[in-house]
Amino acid sequence: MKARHLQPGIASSIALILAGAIATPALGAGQNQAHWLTDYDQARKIARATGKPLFIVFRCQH
Amino acid sequence: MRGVNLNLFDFDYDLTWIGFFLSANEQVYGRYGGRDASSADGQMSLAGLRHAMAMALTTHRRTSNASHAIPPSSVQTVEQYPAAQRRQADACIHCHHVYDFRREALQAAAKWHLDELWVYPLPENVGLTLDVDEGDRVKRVADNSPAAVAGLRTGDRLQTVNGVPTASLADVQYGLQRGPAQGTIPITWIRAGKNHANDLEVPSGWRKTDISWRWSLRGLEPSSWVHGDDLTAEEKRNLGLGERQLAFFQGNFVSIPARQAGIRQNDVIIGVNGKKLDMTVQQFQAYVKLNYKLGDRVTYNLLRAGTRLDVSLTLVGRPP
Repeated sequence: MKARHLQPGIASSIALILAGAIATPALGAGQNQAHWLTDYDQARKIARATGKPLFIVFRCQH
Repeated sequence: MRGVNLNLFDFDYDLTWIGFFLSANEQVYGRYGGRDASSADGQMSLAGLRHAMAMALTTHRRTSNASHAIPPSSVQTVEQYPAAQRRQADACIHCHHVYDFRREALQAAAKWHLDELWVYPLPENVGLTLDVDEGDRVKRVADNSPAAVAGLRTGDRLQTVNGVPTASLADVQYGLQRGPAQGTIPITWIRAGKNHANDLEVPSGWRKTDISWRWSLRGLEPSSWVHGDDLTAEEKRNLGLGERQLAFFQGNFVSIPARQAGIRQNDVIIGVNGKKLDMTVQQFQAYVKLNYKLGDRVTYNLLRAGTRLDVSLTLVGRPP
């Protein structure tokens, strides 16, 4: 499940952060790329500044 | 999971993937994720994620200028559990460790009970099957189930479960998780543009489901001390066993308690205490943990080179 498969209108409306065991690098390229952050506080600052909600993903490997 | 506020990111910690939608002020709009025993991702789809995202965005646009975000008043982290202190400072703490550490803390306080294992019940437990691509749409209602009795029908769109707004399976499970062991759970839905509300009447034991997939279960005593791979359907047929009947080969690593009891590699375990069980080896591991206690003496029923054997073994604890 990767953000680049999402409709651009949705993906670009949400600030992204990835938590958990795996840090995925920025996905895709160009205007509609999904850029994953791994710093929660930084993501909240960006969300506050841009007025966007956060999409936070936890991935855990056993 | 180090540093994560468990009071805010409160989810089913046995999952390998879950997403949260929330505001910068930590108002949670919704969640996306969830699984059942059959597969890790059969309950998820990109269409379902998009649906939940769109609902979260609608909520965000409606509430982002409001000042009523209610983040949890307290912070709890996994490091606060005593068991976490035993891990090296740079060692990963995985999601399922939250359950492991919580169980250990409750056991130490003599407050733990097997009922703690029945977390995040599936909507099927109240008779609802949800659409994977639209997690708030009812795909099927089981006859005579709590959902059927409450009046829900195929095609209804859930609004709230136990007061939790629903756009996904994860939201529904979050609402159900906060339901009682027995009693009522309020539910609201829309049908043909009209709002409906009622209570789900849930009986004792309604939360129980197949939890054999849960990683956190592995740390629960007692261990069966026998492990291996299920026989194929053909192998079972050749031994005169039913297709769903428990039958697994003891693997090449035979535990010390099993070896001392006389169990050997490639023995076929087909039951315990004379019970014929319809389950997989994974479900058998959970069955032993749920039905026996440390120190219990059990008799495993085996086939060795086509001969039926019974072997007794004490379910001892793991070494510290």
